[in-house]
Amino acid sequence: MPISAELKMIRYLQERVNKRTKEFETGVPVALRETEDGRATTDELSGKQARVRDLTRKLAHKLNQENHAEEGGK
Amino acid sequence: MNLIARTALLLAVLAVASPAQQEPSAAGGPPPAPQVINPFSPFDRAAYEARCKQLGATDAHLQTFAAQIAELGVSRAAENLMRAMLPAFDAAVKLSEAADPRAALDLAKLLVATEDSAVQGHIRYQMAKVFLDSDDPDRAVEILTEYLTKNLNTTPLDPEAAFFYAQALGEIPRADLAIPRFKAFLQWFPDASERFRATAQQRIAELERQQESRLHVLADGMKKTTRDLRKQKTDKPVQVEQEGYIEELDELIEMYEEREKQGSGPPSGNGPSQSPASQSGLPDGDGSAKQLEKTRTVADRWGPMKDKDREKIESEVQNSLPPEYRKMLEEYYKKLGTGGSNQ
Repeated sequence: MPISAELKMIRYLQERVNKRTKEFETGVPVALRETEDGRATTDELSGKQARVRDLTRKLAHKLNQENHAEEGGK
Repeated sequence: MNLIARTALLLAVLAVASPAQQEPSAAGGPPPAPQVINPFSPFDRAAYEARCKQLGATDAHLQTFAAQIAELGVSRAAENLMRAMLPAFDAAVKLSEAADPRAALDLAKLLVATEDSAVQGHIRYQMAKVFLDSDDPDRAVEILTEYLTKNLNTTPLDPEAAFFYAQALGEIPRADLAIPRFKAFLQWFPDASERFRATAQQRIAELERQQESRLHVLADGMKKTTRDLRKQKTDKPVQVEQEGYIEELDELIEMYEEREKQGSGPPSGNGPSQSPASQSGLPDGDGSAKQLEKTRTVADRWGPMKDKDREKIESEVQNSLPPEYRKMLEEYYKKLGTGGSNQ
């Protein structure tokens, strides 16, 4: 898969996390945030952000390996 | 024309895909990346000397040229030959060597006054050095783009022009454009000075690390946001950081799409050289733009100049140059005036 396509996928996932973050900030009253549901929502949101982070890190490592392989092949 | 458009123009000249390579594979998969064909021909000394004779070179000039090739390398010898033949060019280069702000203007005036491609090549090369000297890589890219599209294979300065073109792109900084140009330089000029080749390899490694690190920095930021979200921090600062990730990703997507379009990401995309130059005109030196630095830069001299001297230069830029060079030098002197040099 081209690097640009992988980046687009990461961008798409990040955009969804951003949207959910804004929805939580504007749509969930402060009083409800400390409830079990409120906690579960932000935990899930944090998990999604972590997933985007992991994909970004993996892509960085992949690029690193490709560059080293390229240098080794010279 | 902005940098991307200018570079696209140059790449259109340098990157030529053969029709067979552009067709989809038999298996129906995507077409392979286009190969970049080497546009440089080995230096044709006989043709160059004949051209110089037409321009007024004497036998004595050519004898000196021949003697200096072995001593100084072909590019320095050619520069000296051109300076001996053309006193106005010599005077402008002397201004450049003295970091005099007039150098760019005088070179530009000479450029518009000549129609000879070899002379133009020498002048554009000198202007690129002036711009790099003044920490103005954008203008260096502009003038080297002109060199590579209009004066290719007319002087022995091609290897240096190709190297400095990549160098200027890297300093802008446009790593995505600089890396394939450095790789092409290494591929197309196997006999270039080892110092230039080593610098090119070093710059490729540095620029690639910069690109990798952008993703690592991005992931580091996301790690912090992950923690913030777990702590139920969803307020504006967190949202601004998240928007920043999207902007960074957009830039990276654009950068990699450009590289993929050029087919010059991995080295195989460049393809083997069809006719590598057999002789390099690169001189000794570390090959970096810093090598061009002088103890006093052009910007250092531009500031303390008398107002009337500065105004004279600015007036000549307005009144003696065609629009394209007027704009180029306006931007150059404007940058000098705002302390554009980071020396």
